[in-house]
Amino acid sequence: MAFQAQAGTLMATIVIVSQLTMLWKDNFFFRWGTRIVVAYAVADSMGWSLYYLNTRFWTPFTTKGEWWWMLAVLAGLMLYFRLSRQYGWVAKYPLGLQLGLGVGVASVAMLRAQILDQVVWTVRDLFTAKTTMEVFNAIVAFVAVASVVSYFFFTREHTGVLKVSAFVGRAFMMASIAVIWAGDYIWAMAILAGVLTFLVNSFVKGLLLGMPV
Amino acid sequence: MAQKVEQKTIWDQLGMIDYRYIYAVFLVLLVIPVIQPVGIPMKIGPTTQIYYNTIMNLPKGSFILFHNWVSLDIWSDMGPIIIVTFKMLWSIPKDQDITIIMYQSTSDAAIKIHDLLKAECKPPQWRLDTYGQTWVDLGYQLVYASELTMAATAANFKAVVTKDYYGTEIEKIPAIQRVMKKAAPYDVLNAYDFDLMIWGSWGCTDPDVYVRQWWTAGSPPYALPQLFMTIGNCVPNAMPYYGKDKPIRAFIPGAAGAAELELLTGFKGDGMKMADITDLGGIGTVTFFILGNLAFLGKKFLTKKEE
Repeated sequence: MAFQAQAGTLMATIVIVSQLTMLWKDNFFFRWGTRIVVAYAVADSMGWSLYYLNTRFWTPFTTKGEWWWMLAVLAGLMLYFRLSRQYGWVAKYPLGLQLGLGVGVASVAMLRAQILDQVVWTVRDLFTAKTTMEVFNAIVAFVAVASVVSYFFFTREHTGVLKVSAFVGRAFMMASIAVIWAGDYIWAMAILAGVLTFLVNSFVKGLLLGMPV
Repeated sequence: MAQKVEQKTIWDQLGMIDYRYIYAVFLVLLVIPVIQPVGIPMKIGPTTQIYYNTIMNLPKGSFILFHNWVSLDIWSDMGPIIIVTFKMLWSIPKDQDITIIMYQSTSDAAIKIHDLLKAECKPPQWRLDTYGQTWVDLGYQLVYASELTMAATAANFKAVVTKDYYGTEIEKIPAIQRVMKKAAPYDVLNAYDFDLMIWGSWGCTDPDVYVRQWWTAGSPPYALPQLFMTIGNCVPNAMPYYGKDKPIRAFIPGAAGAAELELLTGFKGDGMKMADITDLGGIGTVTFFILGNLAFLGKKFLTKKEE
């Protein structure tokens, strides 16, 4: 293992172990490791921001005379006025611009992709399903959508048919949450597995025992 | 006055196991497959099969856009998917004439990917010899700083991406020129120019964003088919868009999905090992669930109440 890789492995191992000590209890070593990670993330982000400021704004401005890019920089700098109580209002303009553009870009596509298409697909799948499994899936999806929507129907008291459908909708939502939680749990376990794999393979085998990794 | 000593039943003791013992058991369970892979059997699911078929059966002369937005902190879960996908892409025969344009949107993964491209995921010699003609590496590109940046990229790459990894302006790269000519406007590289987008992310709301900006946006809509590399808990967010005529044609969820893909392609890697680890961890989880519930139910129904 080259010296650079050895140093990297050692540094990563120290930080990983510092974070794992939290399993025992909060301690100085854990807080130190956390700060190292935060400092790295901030430095990385600042570095890339400076790189983009240079390549996307400063260089086109100074070499090609494309001055209009500096308007974006100006808008960005205006955001810092939010740190002032007296001139905080200045930050509202670039923030409003950003918000407006964001909402504008997302909302039209959102209307189609997340509402209209979903309604169409939910019904259409019932009639285009070919295999038994596809038919089953389409029916489950249709019942789930209809019942969950009925659960959020608040203009009438949940009695009679609405009570039953709202109950079914709640069951679907609970099942859905359980799936998300289980997935989240497995994901967290995979991350821990990755950390342990690194410690065993790179640190113990590679660095301490000098075995090929 | 004599103090009354409370007798702890077996159910109390079971329910009060020190959590540090549970952590220790988990660590042991998770480390076993790292040292010695167990090889827990698995079967290949339909989405994995579709993912494989979509890539390997692309029509001749297709253009693929590969966007990786996976950072190193979740590499253990998603890295195996990216590695096996790269191996699949590189295994497509030369006469299929598939052009690949790729970029990474996390700075740490960009470093990792370039290490991989020199070693485990090294392209075949004919690809290396034809860099710029059959594939282009755009390196680290901050395409997903916000949805606005993504929308701008989908409409015109030049708005966000100016140079490739080696510093060549993208308009001067022959592969980019060829891809640009696929659909009007012929002097702009945008979402219309691609036949397939393979993207990786661990943000569970990202399917909404990618579908909005690469499928629904545009006039007429870009309708760019997508393959999604993700983590297990983002599957419910991908499902509404999943289907043969829907935006997400297939997805690979986490290391377990990667293991299926490795099994299918024969490119054995860390996915199977990771799947072993999470499977063993899952067995431990279920065991502790059962013990916890036994403690609760035992205490509730089997403990004698004081008169």
